[in-house]
Amino acid sequence: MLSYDEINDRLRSMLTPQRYSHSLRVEKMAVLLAEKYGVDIEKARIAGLVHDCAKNIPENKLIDMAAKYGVELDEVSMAEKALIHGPLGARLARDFFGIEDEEILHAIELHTTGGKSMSKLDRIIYLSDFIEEGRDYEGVEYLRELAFKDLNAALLKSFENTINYVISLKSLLHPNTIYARNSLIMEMRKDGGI
Amino acid sequence: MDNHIKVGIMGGTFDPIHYGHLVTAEAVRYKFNLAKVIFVPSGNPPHKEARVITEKKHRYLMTILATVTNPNFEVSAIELNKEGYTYTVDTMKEFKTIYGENFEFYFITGADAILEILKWKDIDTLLNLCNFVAATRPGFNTKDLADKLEYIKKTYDKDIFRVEVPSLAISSTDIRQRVAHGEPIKYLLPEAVERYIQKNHLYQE
Repeated sequence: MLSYDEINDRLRSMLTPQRYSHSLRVEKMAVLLAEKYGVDIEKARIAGLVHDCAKNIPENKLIDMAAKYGVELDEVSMAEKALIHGPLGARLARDFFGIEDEEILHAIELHTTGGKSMSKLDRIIYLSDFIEEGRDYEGVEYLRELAFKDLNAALLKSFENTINYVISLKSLLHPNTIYARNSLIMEMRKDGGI
Repeated sequence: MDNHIKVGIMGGTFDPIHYGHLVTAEAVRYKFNLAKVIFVPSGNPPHKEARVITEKKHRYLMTILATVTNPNFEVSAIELNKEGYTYTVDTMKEFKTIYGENFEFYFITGADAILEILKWKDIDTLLNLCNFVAATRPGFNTKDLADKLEYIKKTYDKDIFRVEVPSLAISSTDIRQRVAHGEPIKYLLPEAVERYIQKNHLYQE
């Protein structure tokens, strides 16, 4: 793995300034949540920083790069190419930054859609992306507070926000988000949390 | 010169990091209009051998926790990743390589460290690589310091900036002793760091 400084520097050259600042804010939020929920702070830090490394790749290049890196493209990702930056980002994280840690790579892969049986780190990165300090949408402050009280409740709320938003756009919903919500609800029922 | 991005480098052992460090970094950032301040916990400095320094990883994570809520603060593990003694001049060379020529660095350290600066490795190279900011407590206005700064200015044609920071009266040594004696350290450092110290049973002798 490259050192944090080298990752940071290389990432800056791969992203627009806005996207880079967002990455730093996600890193910071991820560290706070990791500390709160007893997750490895360093892993959260790196995953948060790098999660969007594929975000500024032009759309017309995404398919080629996905093919090159062996990212499996389902129907929905083919139609909504922006979704590719999660799994592709995980491949680039390995290739460009030498990150071998599977937990970090998994969190990067799932950060846009979520997925079944997410690890605590996966949940933290997904949520941090949603509630970092620069985000400003109706209900974000409530979600930010909730994230520090009840990680799963906040995660569920953010899945539902996403689903509602995608529906309102008449856009395509990625099945992973449905799987993520279902598996989270089943888990919460088992724990008596819902 | 104006298209240079100015970045502060806050060196220290951070064992533990406390509000004195954070206030200093923020004051210098504001005063010199720095884009950000990078905290660099020291690895194995050739001085400070008198006591056992807390494990690198703990100091690193405490520094991250302390700086995490400030969007203008970052933490670098550049020195922690090195084996053997670490020298500021090597660290600054590495920062130059990583960040490139567009970046201008301000190395922030305590005035007492500045008094020692002439003994640092390759001091002439180091003074060329970055600016120096000496943080002092109000009243720490010794003739010794003034003489040293004057000498540096004459010999190396280099100004060392000075910033007065009231809360520098907080010290890591005092915090460690307080923990060892079971005294409170609340309000001396960020809560997250305090929790980290408790959780990991640091400084309990």
